[in-house]
Amino acid sequence: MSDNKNNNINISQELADQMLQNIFEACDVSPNTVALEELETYTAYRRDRFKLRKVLTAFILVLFIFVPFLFLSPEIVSVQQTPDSDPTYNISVESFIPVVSVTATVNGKDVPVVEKQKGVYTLQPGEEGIMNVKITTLNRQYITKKIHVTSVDNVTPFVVDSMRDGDKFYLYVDDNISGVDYETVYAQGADSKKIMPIQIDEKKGMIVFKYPSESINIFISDMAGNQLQLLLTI
Amino acid sequence: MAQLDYQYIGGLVEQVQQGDSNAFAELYAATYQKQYFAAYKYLRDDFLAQDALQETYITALKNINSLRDAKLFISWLNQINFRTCFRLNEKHKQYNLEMAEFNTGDFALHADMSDNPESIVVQIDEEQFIARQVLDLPFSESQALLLRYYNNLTIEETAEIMGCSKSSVKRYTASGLNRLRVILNK
Repeated sequence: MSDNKNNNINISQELADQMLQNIFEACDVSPNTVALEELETYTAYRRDRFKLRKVLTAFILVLFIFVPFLFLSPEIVSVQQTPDSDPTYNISVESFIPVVSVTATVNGKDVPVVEKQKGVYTLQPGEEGIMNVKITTLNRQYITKKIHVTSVDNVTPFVVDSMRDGDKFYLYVDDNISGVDYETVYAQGADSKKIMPIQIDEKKGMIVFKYPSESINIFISDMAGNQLQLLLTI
Repeated sequence: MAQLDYQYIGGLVEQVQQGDSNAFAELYAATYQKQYFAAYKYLRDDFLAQDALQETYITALKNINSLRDAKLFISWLNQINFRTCFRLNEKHKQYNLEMAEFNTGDFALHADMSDNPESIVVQIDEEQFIARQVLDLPFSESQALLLRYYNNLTIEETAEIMGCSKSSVKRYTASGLNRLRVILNK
């Protein structure tokens, strides 16, 4: 049955009410206690067409709330460089959206990245240059940062001077960047036995070995792990 | 324009089936204007439409417990209304015909028929047979055929009463006629 488009084709509420009473009487059923006039004000039986509009409005609102998240990008809070001869960089990242990848390259080579704690990424470039860091989040937004990497030590210590004095052999060494690691200095003979220095003076850069009876290899490293190997030929 | 919440209507029907008069009154409040509109469009007479309306709801209330799926109440009510209108319309037409014959003094029912009374009875029987077959068709098809051919309504008017598009009316009419053709050929 169609919607009533013609407002003249109606019956009055009074007549409708009378008819309702006749209906109850004809069916021998007790009449209604709530007046027809009041019942007609009820809206429960009317499916609100505007439900669709409400749903659409809710959908649009949700969209408006979530759409900005699609464009949220991460933020690099801080970059800290550890005072090592082979520097590492700790990058703190803040992001509402989860981070999915952190990549870095220096001079075209990949830099290993380790997440030691949540939101803090440790990078060890290994060489000097411009390190390009890129942090990407789940919503495909990203942030990049260029870090100028300096003070990377990959040069071995060098011998300044050497001399023999009686039964002692003196070596004077130095290292330009990270410094000589005197604790790791040792020598090794043909029998592979370790020979430790008899005297070290860090201030002077002096290392003293007992003069050997046979040829020995002397190993001197710096703080960055670069190792100098000397052969003392007897 | 708001539509009816059939879920809620179904709930009211179940309450009526439990004997709740207020629930029936609420159903009545939700539907009577539309039912009256359809009845009026069919019968084209205020008083007949009112009679049809009352009779429709009396039938509905008396038979409410036979309705198995409460959510189908509206379409069930529409069918009751339609058949009530059809019956009232037939009675009214018959009454008018008899009144016209009485006033003119002409007792021949059909001007184009022969003088043989048996043939007149046969024709009436055939018409009633066809009408019964039409009523037995699926509701939409019978409604379309009766409104179009028995009430001489236009497609637009039929569509308005049935609450469907004009193309739907054409479709129901065509399929109804096809079905009728098959039945009558048997």
